[in-house]
Amino acid sequence: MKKKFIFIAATIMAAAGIAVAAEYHYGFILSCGQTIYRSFDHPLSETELLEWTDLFEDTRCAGNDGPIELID
Amino acid sequence: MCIIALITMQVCAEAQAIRAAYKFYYKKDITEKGYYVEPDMMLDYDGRTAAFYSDASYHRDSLSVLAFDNNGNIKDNDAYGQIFNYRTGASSDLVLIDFEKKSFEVNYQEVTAYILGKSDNLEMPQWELHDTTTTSTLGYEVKMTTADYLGRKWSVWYTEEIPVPAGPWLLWGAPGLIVYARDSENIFTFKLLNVDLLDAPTRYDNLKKHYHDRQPHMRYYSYNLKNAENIHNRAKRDTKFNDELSGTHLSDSYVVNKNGEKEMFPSTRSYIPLIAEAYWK
Repeated sequence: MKKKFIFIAATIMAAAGIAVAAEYHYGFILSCGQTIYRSFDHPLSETELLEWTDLFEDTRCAGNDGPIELID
Repeated sequence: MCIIALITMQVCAEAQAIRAAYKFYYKKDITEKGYYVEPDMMLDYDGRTAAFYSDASYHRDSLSVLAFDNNGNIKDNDAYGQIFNYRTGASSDLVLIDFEKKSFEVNYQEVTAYILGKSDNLEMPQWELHDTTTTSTLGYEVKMTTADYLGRKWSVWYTEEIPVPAGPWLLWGAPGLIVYARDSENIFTFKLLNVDLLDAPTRYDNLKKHYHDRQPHMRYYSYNLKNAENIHNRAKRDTKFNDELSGTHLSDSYVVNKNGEKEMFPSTRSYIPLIAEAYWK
C-alpha cells in the first residue's frame, strides 16, 4: 500500500513538471504614475492590453488621491 | 404635503429623439466623503427606447471595432490611435429599455467578459409627486418626486418643460425629464448637464448590436437580472473571480506606485451597485 502511494505521488510530480505553463509578464504604466506588473497564461492581444489597461486605470487611478469631486 | 399620484405614461412612438448628458456621482464605499465621477453619461430616448451609457466608452468601443481584427490585433492604426482621444477607465455599464416590449437589459463589461442581465418586467417607479417647485441651475423649473425603487429611496427633480418620461439609468416615468436624482443614502447622484434634439437615430441599435454580436476575443454571460447582478457584483469586488470570468489565469501581481514603493495587487475591491443587494433578499 505504501509503495502504491509513492508511485502516485511521483506520477503527480512528473505530470506537474511536464505541465508547467508558460507565463507572459507585462507592466502596465498608468496615467497616475503607478505601474502594475502582472503575469498571464497567454500572450495578450492588443485589444486585451487595452481592456486590462482600462480596468487598472479605473481601479487604481480613478479617485487615486481619494474620491475626487464633491457635489456642488 | 404631498400628492400621491399614479402616473400613466403614454410612451409616444413619434416622440422627438433627444440626447441628454448627465454627470454621474457615485461611491465605491459608503464611508467615503466625496464621490467618483462619470462625467459623460448619455441618455438617448426616441419614444420607443432609451439607452443610458458612457459617451467615452461608446466612442472607444466604436473605434475598437474598426481598429482590431478577430484575433484582437491592430488592423487599422488610424482608428487605434483615435481610441486614446477618449477617456480610459470610463464606465462600460449600459442600460437599454424597450418601452413597447416593457423589457430592459443591463450590460456590464469586466475586462474581456460581457455580463448581460435581461428582464421582461419593466416596472415603473411608483412616483409620489410633491408640491415642491424650484429652479434648477440650468434654468428649468423643476418639481420633486420620490419613489422606492429597486431597493433604494430615490428623490428626483424633473422638468415638465421637457416632457420626456425617461431619465438616467432605470429611473423613468416621471412627468418630465429628470434633471437631478439622488438616493436617500447619498451614494449616487445624477445631474443633467445639457439636452440636445437629435436629427439622426439614437445609438440604441448600435449599442445593442455591439453587446449582442459575438466578438471572438470576448466571453459572454447572459442571465436573468438577479443572477447577472450577483455575478457582476462579485466580479467587481473579487479580483480572482473577475480574472476567471475573463478566462485569464494569473499569478500574483503587484503595483509599484509613483514613489517606487511596491505592494501586492489587492484581491478585493469596494463596490456598491445601483440596485441595492437587499432588494434581492
